[in-house]
Amino acid sequence: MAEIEIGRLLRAGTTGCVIGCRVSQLDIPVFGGLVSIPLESGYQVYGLIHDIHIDDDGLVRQLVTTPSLSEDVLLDNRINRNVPVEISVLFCGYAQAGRISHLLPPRPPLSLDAIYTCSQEELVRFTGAGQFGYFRHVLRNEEIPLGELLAAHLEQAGLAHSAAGNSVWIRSATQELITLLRDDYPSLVGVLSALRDAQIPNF
Amino acid sequence: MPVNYQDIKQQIKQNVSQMRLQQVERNARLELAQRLLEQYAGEVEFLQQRVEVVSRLFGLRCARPLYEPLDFCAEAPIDHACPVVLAADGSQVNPSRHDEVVFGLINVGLFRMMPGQPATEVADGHLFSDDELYPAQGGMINEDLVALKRDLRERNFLLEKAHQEDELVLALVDGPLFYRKPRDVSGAYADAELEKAFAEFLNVNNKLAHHGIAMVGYVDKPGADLLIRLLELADTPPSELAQADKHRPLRRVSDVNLLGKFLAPGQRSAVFALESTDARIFSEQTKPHFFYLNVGTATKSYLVRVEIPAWVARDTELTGTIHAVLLEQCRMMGQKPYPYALYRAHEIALVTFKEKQQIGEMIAFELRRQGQMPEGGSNKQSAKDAASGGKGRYNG
Repeated sequence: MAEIEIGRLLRAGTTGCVIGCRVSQLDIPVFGGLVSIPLESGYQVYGLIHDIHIDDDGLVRQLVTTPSLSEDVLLDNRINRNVPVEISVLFCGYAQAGRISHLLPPRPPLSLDAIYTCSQEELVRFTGAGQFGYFRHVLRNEEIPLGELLAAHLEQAGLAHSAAGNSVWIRSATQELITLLRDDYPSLVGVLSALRDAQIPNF
Repeated sequence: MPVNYQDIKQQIKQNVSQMRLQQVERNARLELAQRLLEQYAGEVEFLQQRVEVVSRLFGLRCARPLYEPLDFCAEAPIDHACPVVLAADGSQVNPSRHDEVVFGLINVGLFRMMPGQPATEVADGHLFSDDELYPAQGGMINEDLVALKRDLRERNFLLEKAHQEDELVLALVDGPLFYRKPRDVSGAYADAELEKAFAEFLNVNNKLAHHGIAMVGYVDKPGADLLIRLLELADTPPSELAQADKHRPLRRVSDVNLLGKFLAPGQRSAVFALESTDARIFSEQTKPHFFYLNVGTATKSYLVRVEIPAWVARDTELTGTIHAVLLEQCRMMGQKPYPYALYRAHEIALVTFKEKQQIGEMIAFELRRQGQMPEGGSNKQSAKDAASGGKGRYNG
């Protein structure tokens, strides 16, 4: 899958950012998907989508109760109206001069920077680099649905690695998670339970 | 010092008590109005003559029947044309000498709908030049002129976009279709500018009519008594016609009060011409006409006034199309009927307080960049901002 622009940055901090996109762009980003934000200084930031938020407003609240919503009105609201879908991204690393790091990026991206989905190759390259260091950014965040996010991410990354001929990646990733969560039994059970529900080959 | 709620509460009690008594009186007047409506419903020719006679005696503002009886009501046609709906609305920033930088802005939003085609929107912003802000006659542009210029830009924008359409176009605006020329312009205001803008306004209305673009003014919650005034005129004895302007037995009864008694949901009233001194300024083709329309539901009536130009009023089929399209538009909004396209045009045009502030900051930044200092806000404005805790109010 080629890189596709999914939106632009609304706000950012050291550990994550929020992207705004039109509803018409919403069929591309997925929960747990890896995204990249190329920066002018030559490096690019990687992150995982952990929340997709669709806001309402006065008109939407009124239209919701309309007995027969016209197709024209529905499309207008989805295509034209200035109510962006907000996508929250957790930073989990960056690349500079071709080298991937699972540390947090040196500085966050700026307002209106474009955000792209990662291709299968890029997903394999980022997740296959190092020793799963990016997991710690996910594990320390208490505000996210940990098990569901890891299951969605491992499902996507596992399939990409498997397609690239690396069927052991998913086992290594799972083993690493077990190691990292060995002292947090409730979280570990939650993650393993979610992984069981994911479509992960040979799991 | 906060509002004295105790004092206000006492006044509210007194006012509401008076309102109850007034309501009883109004009900009696409404019954009289209903009787007069029944009595004169079919007397179209008599009523036309009466309006003609009285309008020569003094400035009059009332309804003049065309050909349908006063108690006429019609359902929307089932088969009608499917025109392109172009809705325009404007928003303005009135210049204030109390702001850090003095500027005026008009923003017009236009929304296009056509069944089966994706809806589209476009906005057109105009920042007043120095010459526009400070007319040659002296003083600063006044709010009346800003409002007229806003309406003018709305019409011009509609004309420009309607030209690009091959189908029949309904050009929808919020509020009355014709602009009432302000009379209280003092010497300090820009009279010549106002005259010029008003002439342009009349001209663009003529152009819209010439190109067959059906202008429609949607007046929500109208409080007018145009039909009521007609009934009062009809009820005036011939010998007292010269004093008919003082004969007000139906005072404070509105057209909506009267027509709400018999216009069923979805029905329109008869089409009337708007008889007034202002209306005479318009050309024969564009003279304002109107009908009332019940856009409500079986459980809750809701009457609006729909203003159309004379050439549209003469075309029964086109009037029917407008009737049907407005009902469709209102029903898109569910429980609070209002044309969807107009709502969207307003949304596109709206200049928020925050946007006004940002534009002010952009101008101040550019002034500094080019080596000029902004005038700075007034001390009065600073004091007001401080009193409101920085919560500014803006009615753009």
